[in-house]
Amino acid sequence: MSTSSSSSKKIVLKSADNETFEIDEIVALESQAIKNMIEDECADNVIPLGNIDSKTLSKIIEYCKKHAESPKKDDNADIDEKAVEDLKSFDAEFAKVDMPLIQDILMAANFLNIDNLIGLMCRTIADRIKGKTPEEIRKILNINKNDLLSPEQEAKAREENSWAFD
Amino acid sequence: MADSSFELEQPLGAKGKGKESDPSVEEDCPRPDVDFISKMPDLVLVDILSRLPLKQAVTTGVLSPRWRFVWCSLNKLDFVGSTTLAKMDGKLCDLERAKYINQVNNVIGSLRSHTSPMLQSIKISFDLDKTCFKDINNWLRFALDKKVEVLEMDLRVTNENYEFPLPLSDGNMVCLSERPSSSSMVVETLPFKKLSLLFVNVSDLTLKLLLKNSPNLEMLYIHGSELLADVDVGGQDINIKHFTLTGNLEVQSVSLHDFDLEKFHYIGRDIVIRLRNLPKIKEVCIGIVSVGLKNNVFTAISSVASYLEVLNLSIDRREEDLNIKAIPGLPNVKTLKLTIQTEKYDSLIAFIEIAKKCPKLKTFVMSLCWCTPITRNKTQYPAIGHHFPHLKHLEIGGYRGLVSDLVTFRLLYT
Repeated sequence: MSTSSSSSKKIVLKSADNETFEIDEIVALESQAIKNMIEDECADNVIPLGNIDSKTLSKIIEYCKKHAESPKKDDNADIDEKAVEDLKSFDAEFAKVDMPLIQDILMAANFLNIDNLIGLMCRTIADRIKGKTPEEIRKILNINKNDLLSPEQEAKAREENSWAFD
Repeated sequence: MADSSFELEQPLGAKGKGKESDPSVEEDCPRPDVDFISKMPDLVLVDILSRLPLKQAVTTGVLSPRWRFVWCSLNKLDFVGSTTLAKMDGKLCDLERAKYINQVNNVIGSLRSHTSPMLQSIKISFDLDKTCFKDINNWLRFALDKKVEVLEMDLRVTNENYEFPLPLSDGNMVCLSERPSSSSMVVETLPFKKLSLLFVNVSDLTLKLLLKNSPNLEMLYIHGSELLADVDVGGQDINIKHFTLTGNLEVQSVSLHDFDLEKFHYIGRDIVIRLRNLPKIKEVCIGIVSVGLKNNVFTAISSVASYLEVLNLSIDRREEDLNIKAIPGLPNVKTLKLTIQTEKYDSLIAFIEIAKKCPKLKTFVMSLCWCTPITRNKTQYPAIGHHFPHLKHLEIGGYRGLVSDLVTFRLLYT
């Protein structure tokens, strides 16, 4: 954590499995949900994240750290193309994890309201199911086998939009 | 996805109920049969689907009951036909066209019968002509009903263009070239923010009424209209900020005046362009296809020259056409792009005269298009340096290391 200075404000997050993570406020601000809490002054103590395990949370912190350090695009100054490229390759590396973890990160990112990360995970999922049949997608996304359309319902759905199933 | 209302207070503040008592048991271990994705809010699922081709997004309707109608909430519909019909014979064309129309009708039918929210954008891209007007009119009707903000119609090159009809408040759609307007005609308010019409016929009068009845329209792009002749757009009720006209072969003149236009792009024949009283204009791009740089390009921009920050000219090589005295001062131009058709004996030095009129120049791009093979030439160029204090980025595309290039380079960097 070479970039964090000792004087900057810290935020402490606690995962579902009771691990605590101390992070710079600037990193925590990547989450719109935590940002709102800080603004409402309810982030002074440990913030409990009862539905995010430590493995997922540490991934999320890794992501937020990197993005907090990178220059923001909406700055009026000339966009540093190298920084943009760097962030892109970071994102690509970051997304190289298995589907259960992607789903966990997506759940957590949605809960913490981290826009870019939601987008990255949605893009990753879309890339993995692109060009796949419904049967394959069910497997990839781990859709519950007990919760499928009945054969009649499925036939009707295919009939309604038959052009898409050529 | 800035859905800040998403159940923040519940788990964050009070912590999940069951978890408090026994935190060690759950969450940590993998859940082989829990379908997490299906527990996500619609917004997230729609986000995933919006990154798939429409055809595949539609097939997700059979994944599970949770997914059954998620795709009907897509807020962007890209009907991009993959095949181009140009190389096909007539029968196959008809077949492909019927398929495409059926697909759009089917999706629109599904969205109509499910209470889908408003749509953000619709993109129609296929070889369609006038004969398909009934279907296209229906799609347009759908776009209007859903208050679509972005509508793109690229009907590609066809025999006879579809004409953009005006929707009237009585529910009818009229093509003004067939039925002349009457004073009793009341045009419906159009919801569009961005409108692109490629190979769609738009007449002068349609354009006028379209602009007058589109209070939200910011971007308008018209390409390949056979009916535009004299474009005259102006007045305080005009809201467009970006206006692009390309390849409209019948256009004789363009006059834009008295509104808050920011960007104007024109590519086409050499015509009369008048730009007057456009105080917000920042960017002008003029590319004249067949004739070249005539001094009237500078006449056209002279009255707005002092506002411009970006100037992009695509010009013919003929230096003799360039009357240096006609180039207006361009005190605020920071980006200058010149696309120049070059022949073997050309010097580019004259074109630097345009750059010299830009004291704040930061980015200068010259793209050279070579028309003939290169032969050596021995003309001597005078190298008179000019100082560009703010120049940060210089780009010469099509550089071939000729004497003329080197001289140009030296001239810029003294």
